[in-house]
Amino acid sequence: MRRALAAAAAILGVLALFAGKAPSIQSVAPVELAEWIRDRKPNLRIVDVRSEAEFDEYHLPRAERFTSTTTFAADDTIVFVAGGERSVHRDVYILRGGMQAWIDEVMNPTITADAPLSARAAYERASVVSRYFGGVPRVVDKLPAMHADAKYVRRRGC
Amino acid sequence: MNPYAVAVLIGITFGWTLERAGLGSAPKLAGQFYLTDLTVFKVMFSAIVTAMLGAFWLSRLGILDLSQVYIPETFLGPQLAGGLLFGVGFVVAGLCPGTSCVAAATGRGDGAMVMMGMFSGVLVTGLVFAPLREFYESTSRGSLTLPELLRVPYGVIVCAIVAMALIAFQVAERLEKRA
Amino acid sequence: MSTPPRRYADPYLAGVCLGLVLLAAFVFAGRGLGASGAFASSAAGVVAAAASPSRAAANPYFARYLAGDGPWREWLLFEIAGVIGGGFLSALFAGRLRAAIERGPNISGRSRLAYAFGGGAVMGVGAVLARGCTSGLALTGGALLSAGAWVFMIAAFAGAYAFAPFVKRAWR
Repeated sequence: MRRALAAAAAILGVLALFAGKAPSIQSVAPVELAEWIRDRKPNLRIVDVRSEAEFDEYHLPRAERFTSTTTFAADDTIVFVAGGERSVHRDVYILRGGMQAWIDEVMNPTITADAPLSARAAYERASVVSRYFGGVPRVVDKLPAMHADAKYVRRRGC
Repeated sequence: MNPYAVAVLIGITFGWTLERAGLGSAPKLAGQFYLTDLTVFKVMFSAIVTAMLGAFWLSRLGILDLSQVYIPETFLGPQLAGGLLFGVGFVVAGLCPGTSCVAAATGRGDGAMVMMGMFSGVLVTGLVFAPLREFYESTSRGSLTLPELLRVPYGVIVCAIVAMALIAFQVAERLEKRA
Repeated sequence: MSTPPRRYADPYLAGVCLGLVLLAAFVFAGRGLGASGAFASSAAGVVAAAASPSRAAANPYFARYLAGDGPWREWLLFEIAGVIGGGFLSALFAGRLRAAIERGPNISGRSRLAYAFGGGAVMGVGAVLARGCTSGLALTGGALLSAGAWVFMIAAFAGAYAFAPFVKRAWR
C-alpha cells in the first residue's frame, strides 16, 4: 500500500511539471476594475448579465447589457458582472464577488481606526477610486459582520 | 450548507484521523525529536503532499478556484520567531494545540493541561500585546507563495516537494529502524 | 475481560486521509484547518466577559475577534468542537479511552503536568506571533505553499530539535 501511495504521489508530482497554467478564466477585484474604468483601459468591455430591471436600477459606469446583438472583438478585455460564463476569448474576467463586492469595496470601503498598516494601504487605494465614482469611504468603530469567507479569515487568522 | 456545520464535520474527521494515527499520545509525538518515532513527520508531510497535489490538480482542472481559498499570509520575522518558540513549547509539552484537544478528549490529563497552558499563553500575550505590536506587524509579504518567492512555476515546486518528501520518508524509515 | 486496544493506523495512510480532509476544507469551506485561532477567539471572549466588551475591544489583539459576529461564532471553535468529538469517538471504538497522564518513564505525573502547562504556554506565545500553529499554518499553509508557513514549519522543527536535549528527562 505504501508503494502504491508513493507511486501515485510521484506520478502526480512529475505530471505537475508539464501541467501548465490553470484555465484562464480570471477574476478581477472591484477596486482594480474601478481603476481600469477610470484609466480608460483600451478595449475594455463591461458586460452586465443581469436583467434589464436590475441594470436600469444600478449598473457600473461604462457597463453594457448583454443582448442578442452584443458582439465582441478578438482583442477585447471582457469583464462579466454577476455571473458570467466561460468563453473562448483570451482575456475574460468575472468580477470577483459581483455587484455586492463592488458596493462593499469600491462604493463603501471601510476601515477601523486601529487597523494594521497592510490594511491601510488597501483602504487608501480603494478610497481613491471610491471618491472618483462618488462613493463614501468611512472609518468605522466595528467592521461589518462577514460570512466565513476569505476576507473574514484574514482578519482572524488560524 | 451552514459554514459552522461544515466546520464541525471537518473537525470530527480531523480529530478522528489524528487519534487513529496515534497523535493523541504525547510520548509518541515527542519521539519525533529523539528520532525514535517519526510518526509526526510522516503524518504531517503525507498530509501536506496530499493536499498540495489535490489543490494543484483540482485548480488545474478548473474544479477549485484557489483565489477563493484563504492562503495564510507571510510575516517573515514573527513567523520565524514564533516558529522557534512554538517548537520549544512543542517538545516540552509533547502535544500541539490540535493534538492536545484529541488527547484531552480521550481522557489524558496532560492533554487538558496543555490546552490550559495554550489558553493562558495566548491570553497573557494578548493582554500585554502593545509592546509586541510593531514586531507583530513587521516584515509583511502578504499572500506570498513559494512559486512567487522563488520565481519558479507552481508545478515545478509541487514536483520538488513531492520528491523531497519521498526521499525524506525513506530516511525516516531508516532512522526508525536504527532506533 | 476487555479487548486490547487496536493498533494505530499506518502513518502514511493517516496522513493521506488528513490531507483529503484538508482538501475537503479548501473545496467546501474556502479555507484550511486550524487550532490556535480557537484559543485566541475564546481568550478574547473571556476578556470581554471578565472585563467589559469595550475595554476588551480596546486591546489591539483581541479586537479583531470581537468584531463581526463576535468571538464565540468563530469557525475554528466549531471545528475544534468537532476535533474533540472525533478524537473521542475514534478512541472509543479503538478501545483507547483511558483516564491517564501520559509521560516518559523517568518523570512523575506532577512534573509532567507542569511541563504540559509550561510547554502549552510557550506554544501559545509562538502561535500568537506566527498567527497559527501546526494545523493552521504548517498543514494548511504548507499545502498551499505559503512562504511564511514554510518558514514557520522549519523554525518549529528546528526549535524543537534544538531544545529536545534539555527536556530529555521528560521523555526518555
